[in-house]
This record gives sequence, structure tokens and C-alpha cells, in this order.
Amino acid sequence: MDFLSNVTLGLQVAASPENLLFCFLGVLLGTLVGTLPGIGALAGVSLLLPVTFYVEPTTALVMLAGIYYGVTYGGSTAAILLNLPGSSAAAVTCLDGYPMAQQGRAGVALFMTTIASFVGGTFAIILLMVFTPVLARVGLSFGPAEYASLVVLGLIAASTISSGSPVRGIAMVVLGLLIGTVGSDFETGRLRFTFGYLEVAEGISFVAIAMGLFGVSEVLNNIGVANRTTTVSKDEYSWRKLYPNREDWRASWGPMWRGSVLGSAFGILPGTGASIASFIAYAFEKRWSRDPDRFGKGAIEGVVAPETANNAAAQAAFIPTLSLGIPGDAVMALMLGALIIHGITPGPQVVTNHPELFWGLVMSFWIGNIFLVILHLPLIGVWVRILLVPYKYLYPSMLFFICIGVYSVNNSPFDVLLVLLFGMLGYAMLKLDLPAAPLLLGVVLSPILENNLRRAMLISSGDPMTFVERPISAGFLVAAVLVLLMSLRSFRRNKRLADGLSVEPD
Amino acid sequence: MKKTFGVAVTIGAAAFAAGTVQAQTFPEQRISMVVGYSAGGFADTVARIIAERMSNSLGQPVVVENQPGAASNVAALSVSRADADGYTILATTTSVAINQTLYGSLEYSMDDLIAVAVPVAAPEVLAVHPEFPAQTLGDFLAYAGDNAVTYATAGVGSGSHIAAGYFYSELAGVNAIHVPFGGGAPAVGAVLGQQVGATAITIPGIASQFESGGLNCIAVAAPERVAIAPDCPTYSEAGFDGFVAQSWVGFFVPSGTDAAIVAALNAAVNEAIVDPVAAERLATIGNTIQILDVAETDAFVRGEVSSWAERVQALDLRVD
Repeated sequence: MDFLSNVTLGLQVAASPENLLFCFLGVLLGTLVGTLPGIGALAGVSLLLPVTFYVEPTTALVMLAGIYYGVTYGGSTAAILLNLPGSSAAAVTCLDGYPMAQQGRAGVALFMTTIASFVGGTFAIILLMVFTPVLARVGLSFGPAEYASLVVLGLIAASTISSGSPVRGIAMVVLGLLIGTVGSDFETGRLRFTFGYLEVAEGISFVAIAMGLFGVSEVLNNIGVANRTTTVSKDEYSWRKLYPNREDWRASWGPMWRGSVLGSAFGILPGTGASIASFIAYAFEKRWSRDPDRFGKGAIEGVVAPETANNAAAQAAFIPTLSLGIPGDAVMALMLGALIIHGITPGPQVVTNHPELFWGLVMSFWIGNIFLVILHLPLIGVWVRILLVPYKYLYPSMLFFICIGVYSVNNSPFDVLLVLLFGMLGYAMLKLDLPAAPLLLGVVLSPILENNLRRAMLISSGDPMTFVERPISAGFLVAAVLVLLMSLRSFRRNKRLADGLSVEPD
Repeated sequence: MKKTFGVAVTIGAAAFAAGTVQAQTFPEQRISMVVGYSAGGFADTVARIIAERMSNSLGQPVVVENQPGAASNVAALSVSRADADGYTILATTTSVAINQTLYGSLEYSMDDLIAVAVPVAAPEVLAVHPEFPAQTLGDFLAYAGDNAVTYATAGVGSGSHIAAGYFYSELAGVNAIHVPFGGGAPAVGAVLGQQVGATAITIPGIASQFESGGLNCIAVAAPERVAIAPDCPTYSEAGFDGFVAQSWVGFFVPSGTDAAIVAALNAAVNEAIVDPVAAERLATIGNTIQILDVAETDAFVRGEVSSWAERVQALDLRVD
């Protein structure tokens, strides 16, 4: 009864004309900002923060939250169409989304990401409504040792996500880890590998690396390819081809449910969750699949799973933020800042003292997710036509958006130079057949691994047994060993097969 | 005299004349407020509240730009090299004072900046979980003498870290293990989850936990008790007379900026902060509002630079 009355209260708040309008504005802006590669949720939210001074706190939060999850919806568009990922989640979507686009199936990929995002978001909202207090406690039981072990599991999963040789995958993960050590040492503050450039004192901009390795290298790779105008001919863009067929649907339900569960589970871990969720979901799907060789070549499951997980994580991230007042990332912190501006102290008491705010916000998530589906589906036809633009016009504009996007993250011209550098590295890697995604994930996870490993060791006074004595941490390590053994076994089986047939494995 | 995109370099008497005329009509164009941190942080929130109200009072938009990096050194360096015309303002924190000693080689110094206003300050506190075996500062220090006690902070080189580290090693003479986190929020989370024993943090980052009883404040580094945690004794009450440490948000312009413009900006910031709504909201989370004129602000910042220098040197911290 109490739950029902809360839900009713929330619906009343969320469905008021003002909140509906601001919810729509939020998701619209989120979609726009998310579609532009590199310009993230933070830029959108901070741009609109002054507007929130003049409206009710609930309305303000409804709008800011709309931007936040709207961006995760929109982020896949540029990743699929142009190989331009703005976040680590979108980088995973590139793996199968871009090949799908090149096969003329961009419409299907975009359609399924929208549905997948909706399913993932919805699943997490239900969790948010029912289990918020319990889940927040679970999130708190994750200490540095648990995070470090989780990242070890994540890294092992990461090295298996690219197709081709696992040795190359692991090598790229390690290179990524090393690149991630650039910047100040978290314990002593000393600057490492910065060569006197203060611009990289807090690490190399992730967006610069992602844009360089994926986007710029793609542009470089296509320079000088004679007479290429578009990847596919115009008649392949018939309206019917934009929508998924029955097989696509059948292949997608499983990944959606598994992605929802994984995404929600990781989303409740402040900060770390969202970046790990999507590629664990991808790695899981690949391992689960009867035909893992299709992954990386345009498998629909490889798009659906990470996108579901990504959006589930984005919604689940509100659990620690709202119930404990602990923001998972900068965008969440900014939202809590908006609450402070309105005289509401974010924290555990918000749910009880301001039920209209908490429940109104949660119910607005439903409305926002429905708005997003309505916004995205008709746009698919428009987006895929981007691919009809001849390359000679498309590439300069891509480079333009890459530069703007990267600059906007830190307002730093230095980062734009870094994109060029990583673009050349990405091109070399493309030519040497070295996978970029594991490198990127290595970069994202490097500081999380290093800092939590060292934090755990500080807390345990230098005793490494802490990682196996704590049950959750031990569980992750056991899972990591299992995944490693499984990959070794399938690698050896493939090798034996290949040796027997004396054909080079691809 | 019209300002033409800051290209014209005027010298001598012309510069003086131009400056005075500029000051009378200041501001004639939009003002950039460069925040040395990512959006969403404490400095950013304060800067946005103030920028919003300054835009109204000055009649020109005050636009917040985030230029994070190296504990606000990137932003401080870029503002110190900007045109000294009052159209570029740095918004930063205590870090700018700490960095003068902490960093071995900086390409700017405090001489390259003029302090405009330091309107917001908040004291450092020490907080523990309600189930932690020591619930007073005395018990905590005794406990630290017998056990390996850990404390979480927002990061190495932060005011919280330096103040707490200085307190433990120099004033209390106990060994406490510093566990740095990436910001105040995860540090609070670590104490809530009882991963670490205590946290040293500035009050706004932990205010809601005191309100809800999630964490207990055991000492506040302020001259007097604070309204938000009235049961929390000061370090002086606990026997460490005069131990005060606070984190503030301050605004700076490049040196060489016309004194009249500095005074105009000082007035605008102070006016923005005493706006009753803004002041009340900042106070709710434990901030102190301080209204200082330009000379007082300058003295305040100089005092901060030297008091942090003493602590940084005592801890032998160095970033190169």
C-alpha cells in the first residue's frame, strides 16, 4: 500500500505538464549531445544548470537526469554509423555496430539499440523502485579489494572481446594499462610520464584516445581509396531494410535480458560500474554464443548486449546517488549540486523527507525512456542517410566534430593534438591488425585497478591475502581464473584444428 | 575608448588613461570565469551560483568554463597569462595556495595573480562510522596508537590530506595511514561501508551524513563549533589549541588588472554571495560566508599560502 501510494504520488508529480515538458527537453538535449561524438553528458548538464535555478527542484532534476540517460541512448548513433565512440560503452558498440553499418544494416543496428536501451533502462528502473535501499547497502560493501578483483575479471574479459589472436588482445590490454599510468601517482602525487606537460597530469583524456584510435584512424585508412563514394548503394536503404527481421528479434531477446541483469548489477557500484558493464556484457555474450566467430563482424548480439547493459547501468547509477548522496560520476555530482542550489541536502534522508522528489524523478524515468523511443525510431531513417554522403564531404566534417568534441571535454587544445597522435597510432594498429578496443578498455581500467589495488594494500597494511580473504573479492578472482582457463582451452582447440587443416586461423 | 578584441597594446600614460576609462564602463563584454576543476565539484557549484548572480548585477554574461587539470594549475597558468582586463577570472580553491609549495616548478606564481575575493570557506572535519571503536578525538588518537588506523581523503595534496597528515604526525604524534580517493564522495562511501576507519574532509562533502546520522563528526578544525554539527567539538576543545584548517573558493584575475576593475569585481562577487538565497543555501551544507574587501582578501590569501607552506614542508610533500 505504501509502495503503491508512493508510485501514485510519483506519477502525479512526473505527469504534471511542467515536468513533462522539462523531461522532454532533457531527453531531447541528451539525444543531441549524445549524438555529437565526444560532447558528453557533462557538457549538456553543465550548460543547462543555470536554467535549473528557476524551476522546482524536482523539475530541475527530472531535466538533468533526462540529459544523462538521453546521452547514453544517443551515444550509440555515431559509434554505429561512423565508428566514433564518445564513451567506453560506445567503443564496445563500435565493434559490431560499425561492421553492421558497412553491410548496409545500420538501420537494424540503430533500431535494436533503441529497443535494447529501453529494455535495459526499464529493468533498472524497476530495481530502482523496489530495491533501492538494499542495493545501496550492497554497493557500499564493495571496498578497494573488491574493485581491484572486479577489474582483474574485467580485464580478462576485455582481452577476449576482440576477434583474432588472444595474444594480441592481451598485449593491447597491457599497452592500454601502461598508457593509463600517465599522470599523477595517486598516493604520492608525483607526476609520471608527463614530460612536463601539466595537461596530462590527471591522465590522458579518454575521449582523445577513443576518437583517435577509432574515428581518426578510420578516416586515415580511407584516404586514397580510389573512387569510393559510399559503402553501400542507395537502393539498400529501402524503408523495409531499416527494420529488424524476425531473426534479429529472436537473436536479441537473450542478450537483452542478460545485459539488463549485468548492467544493473554493475551500475550500483558508484563510478566504476558503467564503464565495465557494457564490455563484460559483450564478453559474456561472445562466450555464451554458439558461434563466437561472428562477433566483430556485425553480430546483432554484439550491439544489443552492451547497449542494454550500458543503459541499465545508467539508470542503476541513480541508486547510490539518490539513496546515499554519493555521486557515481561528475554528472551525478552536478545533479546533486543542483539540489544544493535548491536548498536540499542530498543524502539518505532525501528519499524520506522529499518523497515527491524521489518518486517523481523515478517515475519520470519511465516517461523519459518512452520519449526517447519515440524520438529515436523516426530518426533512424534520417541518421542512416548520413552514410549516403560521399566520403570526401563526410570525412572533413567527421574530423571537425572530433576536434570540437575532444576540445569541449577539458577546454584543452592540447587534447586535440593528442587525438592526432592517437589517430596515427590507431592507423598503424589497423595496418598491423592489432585490436583497438582492448587497448581502450585497458586505459579506462588502469587507474581503477592501480588505485584500488594500492588502496586495498594500504588498508591491509601490505598483506596481499586481503584479496582472497574477502569473499566477494575471492569470488571475482575465481571467476577470472575460470574465464582465463576457458579461453585458453578454446584457443588450444582452435589451434589444434588449424594445425590439423594446416590453414592459418583468421 | 572601445576595446578592440584585446589586440591593441597600449603603454605608459595611454594605458593608464585607457584603464580608468575601461574601469568606468566595465564590463562591456562577456566575462569568462575559468574554473580549475571539472563541472560538478565544490568550486564549480560555488562558481556557478556566483556567476549566475554576477551576470544579473553586472549586466553582462559571466560564462563558466571548466579547465580542469593538475589541481587547478592548468587553469591558474592560463588565467595568469590572459589579458589583464578583468574579462578572465579564475575560480579555484585552497589548492592554489597549497600548490605554491607543493609543486617544485610552476610556470606561474601568486605574484602573477591578484586575489579578487574569497567569499566561501568551509572547515575540515574528522568523521567516523557510528560503529567505529573510537567516538571522540582523544579515543581516536589512543586507538591509533595501538592499531593501524586508516583515514580516507579526497586525494593526495588536497587540503584535507595535508591538514590531517600534519595534525597526526606533527601535532598528535600518532601514525595514521592515509588512503587517498578520487574525490570526497568515494572517501565518504569508504567510511560508510567501513572500508576505512575515518575520513578527513571539508564539511560540505559530508554534511548530509551528519544530518542523517550515517557518520559521526569527532572534530572540526574551526575556531568555533559549526551550526551544522553543533555536537562536534573543535580541535581546540580537544586539546589542540588553535588548529584550524579550511577549504575555500577564491576568485583571481591576472596581475596588472586595473585596481578599479578589481574593486568592481570584488563588489560584484560579494554582492552575489550575500544574496540571501545563495548565502542560506551555501550555509545549509556547512559553509561560512566571508565578505572581505580587496586588501583583506589579499592578506587572507597571503596568510593561507604561508600557513599551507609550513604544513606541506613539515610533511615533506613534493610534486615535480
